[in-house]
Parts: sequence; C-alpha cells; structure tokens
Amino acid sequence: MAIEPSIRGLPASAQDDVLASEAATYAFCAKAWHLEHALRRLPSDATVHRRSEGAALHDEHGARIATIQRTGRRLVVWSVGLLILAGVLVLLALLANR
Amino acid sequence: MTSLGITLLILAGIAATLAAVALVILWRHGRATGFRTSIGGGTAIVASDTGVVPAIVLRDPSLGLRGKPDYVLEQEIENRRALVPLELKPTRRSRRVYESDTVQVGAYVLLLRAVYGERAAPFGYVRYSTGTFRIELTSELERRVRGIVAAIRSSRQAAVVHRSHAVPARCANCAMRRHCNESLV
Repeated sequence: MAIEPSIRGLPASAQDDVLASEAATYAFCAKAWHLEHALRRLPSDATVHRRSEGAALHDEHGARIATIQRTGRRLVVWSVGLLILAGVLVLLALLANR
Repeated sequence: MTSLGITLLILAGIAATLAAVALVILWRHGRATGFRTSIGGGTAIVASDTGVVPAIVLRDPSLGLRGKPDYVLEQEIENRRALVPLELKPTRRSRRVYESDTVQVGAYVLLLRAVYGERAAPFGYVRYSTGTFRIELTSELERRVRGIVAAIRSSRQAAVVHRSHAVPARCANCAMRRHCNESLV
C-alpha cells in the first residue's frame, strides 16, 4: 500500500528519499512509477477505490490484532479452564451414577 | 442415570461449548490476521502502521531510502531476538509473491539493517488474503533494490520513462493505464 511516510522530525534531505512503496511501483513498471510519482498523474477511479478498500482492510487488521492482544490470552486461559471444568463435571457425573 | 448425573453432564456440555466458541473466535482472528495468540515468548509487535502500537519511519540516509512497514515484529530466530518487517496486501489473492512486493519487503529489510544493524532479520514477510510469504534478502534482491533506488533518483527529472516489462496483465491492472501510451492492452 502506498502510504507516504511522514518526514516530520527528519532532516530536510529526507525529502529526496526514495520510498519503499515507490520502489515497489517502479518494480511493477518504470513508466507507471514515472507517471504517478514524477508526473503526478492521478490514478484511475478503480485504483482509488481499491486503495481505499485496502486502507480499510489495514485498519480492520489492526483492530483484530488489538482484539487478540487485549483478550487473546484471557480467552485461551478461560477456554482451558472451561475444558478442565467440563472434564471434572463428566467425572462427577460418572461417579454420581455409581 | 440420576438427575444429578444428567445435570452435571449438561453443565459439562455448556462449559465445553463455551470453550469451543472462545477457541473458534481466536482461531478465526488468527486466520484472518496471520497472527496467533501466544502465551509466553512468541512474536511481539514492535511497531505498526495499523494502530496497534505506534508506527516507525525507517530511513537509510546513505542509500536515500525511507519507508514505514505495516508491522515490525520481534521474533526468536536462531536463539536471538530479531526484527522482521511485515507488509500487508489484504486485497491480493495469489499463490506466489508479486515482484513489486518482494522489492518492497527487501527495501524494509535493508532499512531495518541500516537502523538496527545485527538486530534486523535477513528476511521479511508479506501477507496476502491467501497467506503469508517469507522473503529472504538475498544478495540478488539487495542489488535489485539498490538498482531501483538509483534508477528512481536518476529518472525523477526525466521527461519520459519507458515501460519496463512485457506483461499484458500488468498493464490491464495498472493504475496509470489511462495516461500510458505504451500499454500492452
């Protein structure tokens, strides 16, 4: 995804830096890179749509990761606890029927 | 079977079902993201451009290259903790890695090496909707990235740059097709 990294806090020479995403575009096609990054031509509507869809999926990915980080371990611990509890209850049920 | 036994079995069933639901939720999140829940060591997220933790801008002033990986992970590799970039391409569905993604991940590995030295892993990941691929920074890939950086710098003021491939499918999917007079489709 072509997101321009911020140059805040970086030296003025950083403005001449080549971006990793720009290098990817060049690897795809040198002319496409030139049209987009040097001549500043606007991408097609389909591309704009695809990129905004990609941005939304990035955010969704981050939200899922945050959920996993926040609740993942707790869910695993609870699941193991519940499975142990289920096993104990089955054993007790068997004992109750003797 | 006694009523107590039946009650206990029902409770056991409820507990097992709740546990299964929790594990399925985790499994689905893991499958959707490529990240598993780990207890203990495992992978840590050092930086992220998706809002999980603050992002990091990597820069190599000597090469004149800059980038912001979607994730920088810290993983245990050969008995040491190493930093690994991961780039998300959530709209891609492919069984092989695109050349452009190989170059981008290679650039991030180079940047991590420039900033963190030995702490950088010699590889990175790209994640498509169809799976995660590991990309090694071979000497060939390093040359390719350096060559592209040099080519971009020398082409910035050029009036014309020509198409660099002969693949019609690339032109068909190109964002710049409507502006291009060298399109193959």
